Amino acid sequence: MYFTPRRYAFTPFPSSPPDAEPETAVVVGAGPVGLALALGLSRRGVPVTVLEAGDSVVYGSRAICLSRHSLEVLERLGVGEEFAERSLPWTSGRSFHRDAEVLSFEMPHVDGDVRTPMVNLSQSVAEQILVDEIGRTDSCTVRWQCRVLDCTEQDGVVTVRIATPEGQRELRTRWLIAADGARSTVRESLGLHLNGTSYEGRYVIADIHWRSPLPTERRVWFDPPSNPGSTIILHRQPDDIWRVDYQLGPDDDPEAEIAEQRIRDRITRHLDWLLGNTEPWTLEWSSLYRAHSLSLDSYRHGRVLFAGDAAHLVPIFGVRGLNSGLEDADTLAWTLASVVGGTADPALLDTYAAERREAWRQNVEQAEKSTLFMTPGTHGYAMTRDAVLTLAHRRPVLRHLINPRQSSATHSRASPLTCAATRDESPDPVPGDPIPDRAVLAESAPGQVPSSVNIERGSDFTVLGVRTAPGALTDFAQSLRKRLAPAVGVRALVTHHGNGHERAIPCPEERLLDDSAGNLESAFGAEPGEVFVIRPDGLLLGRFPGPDHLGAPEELADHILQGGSR
Amino acid sequence: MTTVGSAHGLEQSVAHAEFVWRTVSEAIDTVPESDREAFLTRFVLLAALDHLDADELTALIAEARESR
Repeated sequence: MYFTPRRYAFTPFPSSPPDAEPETAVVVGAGPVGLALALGLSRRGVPVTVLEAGDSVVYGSRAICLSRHSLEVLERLGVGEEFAERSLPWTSGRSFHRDAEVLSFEMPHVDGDVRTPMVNLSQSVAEQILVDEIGRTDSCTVRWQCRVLDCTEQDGVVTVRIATPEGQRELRTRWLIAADGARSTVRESLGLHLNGTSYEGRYVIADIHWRSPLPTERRVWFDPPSNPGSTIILHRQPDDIWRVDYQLGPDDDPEAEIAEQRIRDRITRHLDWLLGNTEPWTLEWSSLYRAHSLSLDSYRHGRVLFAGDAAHLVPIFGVRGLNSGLEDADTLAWTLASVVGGTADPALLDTYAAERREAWRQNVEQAEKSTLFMTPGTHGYAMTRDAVLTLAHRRPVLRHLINPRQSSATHSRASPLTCAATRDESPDPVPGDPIPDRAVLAESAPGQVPSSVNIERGSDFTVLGVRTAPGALTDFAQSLRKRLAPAVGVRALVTHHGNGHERAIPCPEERLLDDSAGNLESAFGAEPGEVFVIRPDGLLLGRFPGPDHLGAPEELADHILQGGSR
Repeated sequence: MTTVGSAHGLEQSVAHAEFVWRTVSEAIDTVPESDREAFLTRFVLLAALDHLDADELTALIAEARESR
């Protein structure tokens, strides 16, 4: 086995005494979303307990593609470096129809980008990195072998009934977060259902250990000679592990197809055809997959909040599942911490729920197209898919239909939290958009330090001035910080052209960024003097023509803390 | 091979291609299997009558034949 999961023992604990103060937050599910959320909450001073039914992280690659935006989230959680070291970056892909190439695509990336658009890493490794980090974090605990049976809410307390190796326990908590995946017990316990569309096609997904000269890029074969009628996807992972996904035909029996010998036969045929392969390989893991576009109607039910697959499912094509789950965790961490800390109204959690459901809709809009193409469920879509593939080499516009539309960060333009644009035609990013990360040079006492926007803003609200006058943001940032503390901090960043030490008035509140090359200004479509207010999750709350247009910091704080519902 | 990742100017033609793909797919799915071929033939005749001159029609027939 290429990955040997560490086994965790059950740590005995008593049920919560009925007269004691309940726990602050309990997360159900030690998948990547639950773990990231637990870390995010604990980083903001919220004590968290994670309940996990199993005794280890998952085995198998599962959600292997992490987007640039997800890496920013992980960096803010303090594990970015390890994810970067252990993953394989990639930027491009190729698609083939039978034995002819019909598409070669390059994901958007420009000079000044801090990360590649995508990296590949097994979910097993991703979860283990997060579990290890939690092990080093105070007030954050994973309780293994704790299977949630059900939950009930009464008088502002959620009681969770848990099956453990030593019998049943009950935990009482102020907030319960269901991150327990597609088959969420919490969701079932509350009688809630996912609504939407399930697609017909089924895929076998498998990890193989194989030394191959193929590059790190996404490759797809439609109707390959090795497996006529099927679609095969190949992704490289670290340590000579390759992920192979292939579509089953409508007449294939999924139970028979998941048998090891059957999987070996299909993959062997493809590798032999592809490379005349003589390199031995081993089958490490396999599973069966069916695409769904399903969601809860709301991700908040009283004191129970939903995140990741427990809240919503999106088709695998375009890799939006885990990446959108990490967005959930990122947004929920600062909003819930603000409510727990007593600064924010619980209405902020309704804003979380509304924003993230809208994000699901955005993801489904893109993923649906990819899914109809990758796994056409009707005769009509199958006929046109084959025609498009046949014509693609003559008609370049049709190649866009083959493009997998890889995941990109979702926006919150329609959120009540987002401040309306102050210009009729605001350039990108518009309020609600995810801001781009860019390499910058930060001024510090010994000299300039290579950094990035994501590093400089950290997990706080950020007021970013583009060549604003020295001190122009100081009072605003300080006043906003007083209102948002302690769950959320506030930073002021100011760009300049040239030597920051030339600034006449020292402003310790304002961190100076050298943007002489104009990378940041260009990425933000910014005018000199413009001010950007950026949320902790990297979404643009608003852009203002100058510091004088920010209004009173108390008003903005009220707006944020009341979930934009004023 | 054309790279499509940075093709901002093609938005309209891509949107049209998507519309054509989805509309034709769903139209095929609305007719009984026994009528599919006849439906597509009627559809092509109508499209050609309304939108193609003789040279265009001949060229497209050749392209479709050669693309098999």
